[in-house]
Amino acid sequence: MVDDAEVERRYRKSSKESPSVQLDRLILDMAKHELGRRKYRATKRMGLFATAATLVLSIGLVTFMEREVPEEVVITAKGPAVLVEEPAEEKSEQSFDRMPAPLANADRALKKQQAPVSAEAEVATMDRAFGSEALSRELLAEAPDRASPPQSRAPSMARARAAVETGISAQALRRQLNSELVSTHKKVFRYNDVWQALEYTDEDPKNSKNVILLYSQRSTPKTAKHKGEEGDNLWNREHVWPKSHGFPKKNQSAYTDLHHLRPSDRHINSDRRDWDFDEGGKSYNRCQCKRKKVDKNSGSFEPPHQVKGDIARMLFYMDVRYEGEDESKTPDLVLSDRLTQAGDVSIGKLCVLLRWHRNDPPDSVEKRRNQRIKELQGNRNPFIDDPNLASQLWGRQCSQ
Amino acid sequence: MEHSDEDLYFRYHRSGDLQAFNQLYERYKGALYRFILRMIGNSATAEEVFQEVWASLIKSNQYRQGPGSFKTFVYTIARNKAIDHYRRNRIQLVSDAYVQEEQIEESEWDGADQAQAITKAVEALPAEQKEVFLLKVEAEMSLEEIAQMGGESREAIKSRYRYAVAKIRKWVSEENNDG
Repeated sequence: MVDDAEVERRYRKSSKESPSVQLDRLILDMAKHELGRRKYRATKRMGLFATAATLVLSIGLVTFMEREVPEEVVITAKGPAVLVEEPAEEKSEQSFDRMPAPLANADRALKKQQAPVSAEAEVATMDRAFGSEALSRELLAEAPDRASPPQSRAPSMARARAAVETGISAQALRRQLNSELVSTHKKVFRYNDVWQALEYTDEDPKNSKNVILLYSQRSTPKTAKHKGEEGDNLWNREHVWPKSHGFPKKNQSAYTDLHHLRPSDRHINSDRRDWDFDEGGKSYNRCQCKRKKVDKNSGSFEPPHQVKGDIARMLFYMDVRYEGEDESKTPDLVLSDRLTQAGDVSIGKLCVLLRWHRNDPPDSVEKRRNQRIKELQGNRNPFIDDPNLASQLWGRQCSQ
Repeated sequence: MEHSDEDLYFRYHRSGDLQAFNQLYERYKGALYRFILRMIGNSATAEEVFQEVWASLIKSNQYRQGPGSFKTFVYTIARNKAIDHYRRNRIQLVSDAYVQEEQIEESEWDGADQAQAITKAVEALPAEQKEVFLLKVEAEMSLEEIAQMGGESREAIKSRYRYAVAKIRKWVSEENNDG
């Protein structure tokens, strides 16, 4: 008779596979590369402003020298420009290729001016181009779109680089947001306690005995829960990111994450099923909504206008909060621009949501809700606090 | 004195100590690889998932010291990545053990040597039982730790482990009889 220990022993004896040497090498290389990348980024951050300022001043210098401006004017800009070692003309060619978008703008602005530029005017131009907000936006998001080439020889390489840089920045931003959301997510609710939490987060501002239901926007007594009793006007807990799309079990954090849970009319909740959000379909009489059935397993739902942005931001939060890398027992949730179905770890449609988000910015009730969830759960929905984040993460994907 | 896994992980992330990472990798690679390989059942995909797990350990410093051990953390990532993989590729989770049993008896069980047979038997277990068996035997986790990982009771885990072992035992004895 083979006992348990013997089964384990025999299994261990036969289970000998290990990763290939190439795979070992690849992973150690990845680890090494990551350290290098971090060092580089740290240096880059430190040097970014210094480098940028130097570059603009050198460009200024080059412009002046090309126009043979009187020497004393050059001197005012000369201090930092001493760093330029190459001959002026060559530098001018190269600087176009290396220039990040704000530099290109500054350069264009300088080139437009025909008269010799005073030092103050130059500083003003730099300020315009280098307001820290302008700089970070350009680098983070829409740089390639806004930075049209200054001249025809202009730099397709620079555009390509800017595009790569944007992709990397979006990744970095996502990582930063995720790590913030994970570390501040202090409390994971039991599903049974979600009822009470929603009574607080979704309380009707005009009547503290009621909650506002998501799709119908109806004010309903907190006590009218669809919990054990039957009736038509009862509310229950809607998972805006359907639980069948990645977290079917109650012990998975996303299942009880307040940010995407909303009180909902029981019938609308069940009629929305686990469908994607999209526009169009047949009118649906329980709310200002539309529904479109595609096939047995999929379809879409269009909520009323006043909650479209709310829904988009809840789903943005879910995508960034759950990356499958922490102890939330939830896989990496990913927004999709296509229709999905039960069992997929994603929900759609991303680009429609992005549009809804832009057209329906956060209002005071949504902001209050965010604050109240922060009190209960610890973390905030960053897309409500800073609506610009969404296009920084997904803008490019949806620009076509 | 030997460093704990947690220690090595923090040394890598906080002080950029590549040697610490190497040590950590050496400690984990074999068992983690076999865990993924058996869960997924084919080596090309297993290598991909294995690489993804390490990529996420390398890229983000997400582990916080808490009730769960570092090992639990690593295997949770591995399990989630394996599940993601199933889902993304729409491969059905192996849940019908009978179908699997039949396949094995027809093709690979007969005539295969016992070493191969027992790993095949493990691969053919229903996913939930297989996971528990592998976490216990490959990752050398206790039933308590496994229970904590999935937020389940120790009894549930123990019973899955019992079923797994019973099934493997049955197959192994059949193999002996045939031999």
